Amino acid sequence: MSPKIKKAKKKVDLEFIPFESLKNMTLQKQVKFIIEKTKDDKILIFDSKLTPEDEAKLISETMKHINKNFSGIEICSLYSEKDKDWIDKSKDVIFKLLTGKSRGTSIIGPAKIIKEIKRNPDSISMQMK
Amino acid sequence: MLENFWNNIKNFFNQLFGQKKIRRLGFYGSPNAGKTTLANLISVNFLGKEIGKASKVPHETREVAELEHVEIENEGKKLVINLVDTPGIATKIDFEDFLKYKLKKNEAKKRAKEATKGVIEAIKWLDKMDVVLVVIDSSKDPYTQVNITILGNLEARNIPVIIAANKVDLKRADINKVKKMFPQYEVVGISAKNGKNIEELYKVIFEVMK
Repeated sequence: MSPKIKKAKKKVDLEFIPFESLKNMTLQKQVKFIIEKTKDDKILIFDSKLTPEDEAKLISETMKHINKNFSGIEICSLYSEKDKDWIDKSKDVIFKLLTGKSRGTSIIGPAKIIKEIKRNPDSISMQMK
Repeated sequence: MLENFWNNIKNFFNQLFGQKKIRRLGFYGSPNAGKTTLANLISVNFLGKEIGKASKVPHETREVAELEHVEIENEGKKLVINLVDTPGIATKIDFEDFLKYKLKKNEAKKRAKEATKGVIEAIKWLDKMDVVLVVIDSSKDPYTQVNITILGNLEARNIPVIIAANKVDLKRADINKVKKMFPQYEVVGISAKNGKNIEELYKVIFEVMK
C-alpha cells in the first residue's frame, strides 16, 4: 500500500505595519521595502492610503522585479470620506502631518498568493489562490 | 527615443515662434480595455490609418505609439491633436497567462518582459499628456486599483480626464456602474468595436480640448 501524501497547506504571512514606522524612509526605500517583503511572500497591511504617485512608483518598480518567480503584486488602497465628523477629520489632519499619508488601509501582497482583491468604495475582500 | 527627441525639438521651435502647441490625447487603461481599438477607430476615421494592432491577447501594445497631426472634426469644428496609445497598466504580469492564448513558452516570456517595460513607459508618459481618455471595460468591475491609480495620478497632475466606458455592445456592459463609481468624471459609453456613440465621444473631446 502506498503511503498517503498530505499536501502541505500554504502558509499565509500577514504583516500589519504602521506607516509611521516608514516615515523616515525615502519613497524609493519605502517601495523597495514593500517589494522585498512581497517577494518574500508576505501580505502587508498598512494603516494608511498610498498616494496615487506612490502607487504609480510602486507599480513601476514592481515591473522591474518581475521574473519567473515573482509575477507582481496585488494592491488595494482604501479611504472613505463618507460620514466623517470633525473628530475623524481632525485625526486625518494629524495623521497626515505625522506620516505624510492619508488615513485609510492599504493591502499589498504577491500576485502568486493573492488571486484578487475586490473593493467596494467602503470595504475590501481578498481572494487567495 | 530619437522620435521623442525630434518631437521635443519641434515643440520647442513651435513655441519659440508662437505656433500653438499641438496637444496630446492619451489613451490609458488596463490591458484589453480597448485602448488601441478606440485609438484605431479615431485615427482611421480622420487619418485613414491605424495607430497599432489590437488583439485579444493581453499586452498587445507594449510600446507607446504617437500619431501626430490628427485633424478631427465634429459639428463643423476642427481640432488638430496627437493621439498617444499606451500599453495597458497592470500590477502583475505572468508569462504563463499568455500560454492560454497558445503562445509558445519563449514568445510568452518575451511578451511578458516587453509588457513590464511597456507599463513603466506608460506611467512615464503620464506627464506628457494634455488630456487623457481613460478606457474602461464596462462589462467588468470598473472599480479596480489600476483604474483608481490612473485616475488619481491624472488628478494629481491636473490633467483633464474623459472616461470612455467601452464595450457597451456586450450584454454584461453596465455603463451606470462606471458612472456610479466615478461620478466626478465625464463618462461616455461607447463601443470601439462597432463605433457606437463615437460622435458623442468626439463632442466631449472637443469640449475638453477646446
